[in-house]
Amino acid sequence: MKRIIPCLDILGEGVVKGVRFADLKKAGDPVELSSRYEQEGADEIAWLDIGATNSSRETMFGRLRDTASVLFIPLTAGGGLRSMEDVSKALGSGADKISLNTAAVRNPGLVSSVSGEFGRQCVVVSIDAAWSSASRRYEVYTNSGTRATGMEAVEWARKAEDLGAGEILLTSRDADGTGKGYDGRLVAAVASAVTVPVIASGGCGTTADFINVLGRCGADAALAASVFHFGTLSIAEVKTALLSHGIAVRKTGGVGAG
Amino acid sequence: MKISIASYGVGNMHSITKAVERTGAEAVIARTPAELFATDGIVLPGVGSFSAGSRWFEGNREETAELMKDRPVLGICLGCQLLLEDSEEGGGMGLGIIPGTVKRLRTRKVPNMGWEPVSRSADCVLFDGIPDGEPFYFVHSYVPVPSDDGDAVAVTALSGGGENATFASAIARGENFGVQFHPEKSSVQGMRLLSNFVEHVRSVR
Repeated sequence: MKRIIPCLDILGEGVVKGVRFADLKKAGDPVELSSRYEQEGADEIAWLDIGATNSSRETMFGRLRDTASVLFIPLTAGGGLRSMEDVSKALGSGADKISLNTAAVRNPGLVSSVSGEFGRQCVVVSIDAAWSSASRRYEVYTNSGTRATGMEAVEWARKAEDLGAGEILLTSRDADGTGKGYDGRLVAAVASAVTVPVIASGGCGTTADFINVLGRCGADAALAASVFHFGTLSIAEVKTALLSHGIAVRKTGGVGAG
Repeated sequence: MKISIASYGVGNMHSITKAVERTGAEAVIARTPAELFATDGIVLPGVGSFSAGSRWFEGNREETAELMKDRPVLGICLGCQLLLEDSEEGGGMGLGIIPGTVKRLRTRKVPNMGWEPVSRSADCVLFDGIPDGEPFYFVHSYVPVPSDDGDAVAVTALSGGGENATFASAIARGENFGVQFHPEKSSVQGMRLLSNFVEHVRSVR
């Protein structure tokens, strides 16, 4: 079954959401939002601390613990995790999986170490990619999409899988927050190149975008933030649309939903 | 009413402890196999590798297995696999309470991560009040393969297909139960399954 994953971008104490990684708007409280999303039928919750400065660390683990304590669906935590110690703290705060982005690029050995210690299933390698018209390929960016790495997205995804990633969270920097649709070409290229699940992220605005990315493009899960935070779409609406197009998802509606 | 939870792995014990407490039972972390029996029921959680779990029981494996046969035990994911005899993952023996082995998933996407329907093949107290075919959350690369079909109480068929895409997702023999999925991560229906186990523990206490 395909998964729908609301994503909470955390800055300080609260949830925010921007457009192409900028122009952040407040979107609510992480504990309330994630608990509401579980009731509405979210299959998992992703939590990304986008501030990720040293001073925000302890705040982050505290808020993560608050969120984990009310949730009975899987929770992935990421944003600024740099070491085994950070990863242990995130898991100790109640995360089921951790996501590595910049740290995985800088220190690929960390992916292997976490995978070896805690198991592949709890390692998500998060890739931010953008189309480069100069090199005519998808380039990988780090540091919240600000720093080009010179790496190509499909190649990096394959390498991440070899290193021990259990899942790839693939965000299109071009599409993020625009509501104009996932970057289907990027998603299809990565999803067909790796054997671990791929979560598509960035750009969804309509139910058709979910149908396209989980159907034709081959993503295993679709992550979304703006459409759910700002009430453009409900999780139930998205799932009903997917089911009507023959895409298997867990039916929502809470108790008794079969 | 107390439920002991085996602490044989590294990683997150948070979820299972919290979920057991939500059912109204008191969760007690067991640091050694002997400590498992100080309570009314036992949970073997799905945290860590087969070898870590196997090592934890080493030295006390046979007597632990013997004692467990008369106790309500719920194995989750890895904990379910440990009820069987051994695993393709390697790293030692299981408890051998339920005859059978553990095989690597041979499907298109491994690990299998996500919600998949669980269809009943026999009556089992764990699923009381849960609709047949209800999805539960899975995250695994290995599957239980009981030797006796009668020990499989539910099956799951992964939609992507593959050599062993259809597998036993819940097994049971007497008082011992195992589920390959994670009830503590499966929202309302997962909590119902855990409550059913706790109710069962209460009824046989």
